[in-house]
Amino acid sequence: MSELVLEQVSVRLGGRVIVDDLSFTARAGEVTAIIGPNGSGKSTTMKGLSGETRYQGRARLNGREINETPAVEMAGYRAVLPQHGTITFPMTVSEVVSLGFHARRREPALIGEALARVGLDGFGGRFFETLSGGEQQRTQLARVLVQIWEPVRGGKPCWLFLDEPVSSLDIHHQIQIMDLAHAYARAGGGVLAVMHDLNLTAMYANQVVALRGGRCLAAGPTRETLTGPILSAVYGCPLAVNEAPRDDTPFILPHLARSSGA
Amino acid sequence: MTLTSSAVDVSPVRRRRIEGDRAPRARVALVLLAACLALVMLGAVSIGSTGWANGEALRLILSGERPTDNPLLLRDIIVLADIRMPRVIMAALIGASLAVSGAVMQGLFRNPLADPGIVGVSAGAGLGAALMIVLGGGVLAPVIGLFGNHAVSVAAFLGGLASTMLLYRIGTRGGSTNIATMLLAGIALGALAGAALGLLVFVADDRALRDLSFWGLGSVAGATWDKILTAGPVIALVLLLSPLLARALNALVLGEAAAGHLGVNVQRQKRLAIVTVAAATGASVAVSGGIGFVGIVVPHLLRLTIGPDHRYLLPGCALLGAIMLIAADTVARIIVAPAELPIGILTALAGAPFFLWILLTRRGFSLG
Ligand SMILES: Nc1ncnc2c1ncn2[C@@H]1O[C@H](COP(=O)(O)OP(=O)(O)OP(=O)(O)O)[C@@H](O)[C@H]1O
Ligand SMILES: [Mg+2]
Repeated sequence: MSELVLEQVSVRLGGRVIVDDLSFTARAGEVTAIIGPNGSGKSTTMKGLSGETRYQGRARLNGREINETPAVEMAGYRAVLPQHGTITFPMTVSEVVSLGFHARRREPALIGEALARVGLDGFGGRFFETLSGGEQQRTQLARVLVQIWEPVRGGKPCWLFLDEPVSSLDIHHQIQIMDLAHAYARAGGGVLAVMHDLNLTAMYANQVVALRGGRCLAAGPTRETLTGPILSAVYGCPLAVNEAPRDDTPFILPHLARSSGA
Repeated sequence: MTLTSSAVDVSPVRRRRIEGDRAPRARVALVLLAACLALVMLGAVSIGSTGWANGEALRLILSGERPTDNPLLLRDIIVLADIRMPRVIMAALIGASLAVSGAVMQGLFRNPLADPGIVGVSAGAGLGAALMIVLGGGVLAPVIGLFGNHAVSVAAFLGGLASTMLLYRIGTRGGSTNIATMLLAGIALGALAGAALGLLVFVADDRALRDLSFWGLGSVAGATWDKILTAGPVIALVLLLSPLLARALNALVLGEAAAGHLGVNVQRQKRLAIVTVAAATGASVAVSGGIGFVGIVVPHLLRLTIGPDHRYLLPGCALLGAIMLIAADTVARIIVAPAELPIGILTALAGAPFFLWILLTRRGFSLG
């Protein structure tokens, strides 16, 4: 009941099969990452699971078939951060965040709380369009957070579906946001995140699903999935894990920052 | 459900005014606008080409008495009760309806420049009315027989509804409406209706031609209690129902997909919004012709001052739209007294430069 279960899910768009026969299970209490090269169908999978496009096969969230569940019910336990977000009319950051209250009771105090969590304390009065790209992304994340603020509601886990949540963020904020997602899962919620940064994936994901050309090449616990041979096949280029560069090129890993920040 | 049950972190609630929340300001603005509307209505009823009305006449109208011994006072009462009052009320209804349908359409199309006048809904309604004016003496005579004085109104209403439905059909593929397609299709439809209108001019006789051009400029001069009874209920219904759309329109600011994630039944809300706009535009074009720019200027001004929250924006538009059109109509009837300016000329004179100003100051609107 507190799982996201995909069984042979396919999505067709424009007459083409974009996601082909995808099966995996994501559990509440864990961070599940979807990785894969550009155009491999990660966002399309997210769209299918968000009720945006229809899929063939079965996909159940908390025991409910996603295709057949009314939007308003889903919104009670599933919030979605799209890869790209635009806003039409000039709105303040607070106003954008408060859109997250659509399907729930309005608790104005949550706005400031959510902004603080994403490192935007004091940004409430700014106009969204005047923010930097990373600040806009974190504002959207705050909006997603207030929608399902409690990781567990009425005994059921709530789910964050995040399509590249840290793509525009600096390394410090990447860690801050991934810590947030991790804490959400630790508290009983479910997190499904599309990731491009493999180091962050290794640090935060419990499970990894690797896509290539719309098909699942590997799915399983992070340590078993993030291996040289699998990653090389997924991305189509030779990749090695835990190997330092042979020359003196500097390399920077986020691990240290996390342990000092936590 | 309390903050402390949030497992992301446990920290004390900070109670303070929320920065960037314009709702308190919006509520104050609504109260001020309502007061302002009352004042403007009173003023517009009192002032006319003959100067200020007799306060005694106003008092007598309100108490329902008609003095038969004083012909001058009686004349004042008739002017006030049977000419100016319906006119002011009609202007208020039309202004509110134009501004609200503009705001709904802009929220729906996610574009601050969308307006029934621009996407061809008004043009469709206008074509319906013109058909009736020109062909009412010929092929369409039986319709006149059926609806009498209301035939032109009914035709305009049907024209508006037909063009909105056509627009919706063209823009909708596989159950989802593409806003950009719909916007562009609307522009084409508007041009088509304009061309058809041009053809009608060739077959129109002199009287029809004069009716046509006067009607095309827009005016509330012909307002009677009778017309209010025709268009009023439709407009009032739209104004009362529009707040139901407010929360969905707010969510649509993020786009249709994200609105769906927030729990909005996007397709149903879009359909409701489209019918609302068609009804309001059809009804107002039917009685007052094409009055442009109110639907763009009023929502835009309000968005600048109270923000884009439709819970306040829609009632605000109803109030400010009514105020603006009453004011414009009052100017229209006294500025060149004893003649009258068609109100459409005034709103275009003030509105078109404003529209250009919006284009100059805010570039790069997305089509959705
Ligand atoms: N509406 C559509 N019609 C046709 N093809 C589409 C459509 N949307 C996406 N595609 C194609 O489907 C493939 C997968 O797209 P998707 O957006 O899911 O990729 P992704 O894995 O999220 O990539 P990225 O890492 O660049 O975000 C791409 O080849 C894309 O061109
Ligand atoms: Mg993507």
